[in-house]
Amino acid sequence: MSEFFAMASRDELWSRGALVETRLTHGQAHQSGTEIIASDSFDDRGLREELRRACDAAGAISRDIARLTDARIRMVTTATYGGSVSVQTTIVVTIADVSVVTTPENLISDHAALARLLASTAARHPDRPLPIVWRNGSGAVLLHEAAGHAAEHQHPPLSWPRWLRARDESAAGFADLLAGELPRAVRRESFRDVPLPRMTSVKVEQNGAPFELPTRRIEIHLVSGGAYEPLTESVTIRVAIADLVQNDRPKRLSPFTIRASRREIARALIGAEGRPQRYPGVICSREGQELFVASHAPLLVTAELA
Amino acid sequence: MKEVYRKRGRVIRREREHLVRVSEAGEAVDDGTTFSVKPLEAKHLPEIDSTAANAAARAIEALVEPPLILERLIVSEGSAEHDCNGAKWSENTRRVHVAIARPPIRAIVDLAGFSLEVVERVVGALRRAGSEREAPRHVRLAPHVGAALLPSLVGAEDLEQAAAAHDGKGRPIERRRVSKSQPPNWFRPSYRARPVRAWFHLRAIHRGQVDRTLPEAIALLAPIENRTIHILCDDGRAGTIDASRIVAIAPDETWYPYAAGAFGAEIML
Repeated sequence: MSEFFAMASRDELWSRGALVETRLTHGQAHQSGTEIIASDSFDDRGLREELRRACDAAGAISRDIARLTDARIRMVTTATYGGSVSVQTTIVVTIADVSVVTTPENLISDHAALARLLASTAARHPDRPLPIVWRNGSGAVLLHEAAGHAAEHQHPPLSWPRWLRARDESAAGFADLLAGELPRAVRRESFRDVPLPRMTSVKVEQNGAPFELPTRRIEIHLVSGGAYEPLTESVTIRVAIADLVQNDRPKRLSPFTIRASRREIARALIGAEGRPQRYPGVICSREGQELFVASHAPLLVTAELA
Repeated sequence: MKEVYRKRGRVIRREREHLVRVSEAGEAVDDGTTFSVKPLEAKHLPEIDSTAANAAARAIEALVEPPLILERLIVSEGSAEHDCNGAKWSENTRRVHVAIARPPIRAIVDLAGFSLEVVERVVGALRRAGSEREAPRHVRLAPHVGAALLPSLVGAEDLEQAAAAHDGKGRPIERRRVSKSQPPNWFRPSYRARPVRAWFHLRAIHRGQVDRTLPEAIALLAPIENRTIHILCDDGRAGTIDASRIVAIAPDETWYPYAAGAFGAEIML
């Protein structure tokens, strides 16, 4: 039996309040077994127009974007059809090479938060590893790499703290990432791509976790990227904005990189507090396909990681 | 001046077990302020026969047996017609991208044709490989590995741009010495990408004498960064080597799909 997928996407790049690049893409794919026939021509022009209209309606926030003259902004609105139409808009806001990924409803507040975070001047990285407090939902990125991608690669589950839960949520259902369950949703970046089981929305939660703030610690606010190496089961997290906190006094650190195996990360998780908080931004790249993954996590504490 | 570029293309892509057939056409307009892209209602190019790509993919799949893992395999064949402000040209392409692992190492090969001699050699070396260990101090990079290094040597090594009929704006690519200054030609890897200036078809200039008794590096284990390269040698040794001290270079005539193109170069380090 043939499966049908169609999409339209509008991708805009704004720099200092001016539109510099705009791309409209649309197309459809019929999949029969392992063969996919993809084309930018539609069998049903009505569907094409519906998807294009849905894109244009969801992304119509150009007046808000034009006011953000200190930033480089990329907004991608994608309308997809796989039985029904769904629309998603992601906005990447970049100031001074540091980015957040947000949505139209959070654009103004996330832009302001990024500007505030960038106001501090940089200091040096501390000489030795310290305990880390993952603020602002950033712990979701750690679990996205250490548990989510490991599950996508069908790596066996580890012994995680009993108070921790990390699930991928999508319209196709929930997947317990700590138990090594494959994400339920099958996603693709465009009509030209092969659909793959991919994370959609990573939600990290804690239930009765211990919590104590180390007196000398690193507090992470934003990460610029992460990676999972399936051959060595190791995780790399590139930290964009973090503070060294000593005696409750924060001092901004220069960007740095954390590398640890997923086993080391599972052992290092020593505490958490509060409800999951939305982290502004994960664009996940796998097999050359970039997809937005929503991310939520409570405040997490890890012991020293290299 | 307003620039209008149109492209019609077809590609078949064997990606692991999937065969993807893509047909599309698009237009990119640069009015000096905004770069705008949209699909075009255009007649599709003729179908591409998938026999050769399927055969190449199956041959690679048959080569890779445990303990080796075929992590990634993309074999594609495409045809395209271009029109940039009235300059028209067409091209046919073949590409192979393969990543073969023997944990904890991974060899990466990129080719612009379906001859699989390089892949066969890499599979043989991986079978002999243990874990990543000390690479020999002096090696010679096989031509396809040297080609991957050439884009990072612009401005540091004597290189030449080989002549070709068209760049991404339909202009001729002239043979000339590559310098640190702005490249004269434009690279447009897709109609959706804004063209950027780039040196095309890099060719190394012969110098010195390559010692063919040295171990031969036949695959990269990671993309090249800052002229530090992770290599797999034909004897199974694997490790990291500094590629900034080049002793000798012998160019060859095979073209590889690195950056805006690079010809093979046997490089002695």
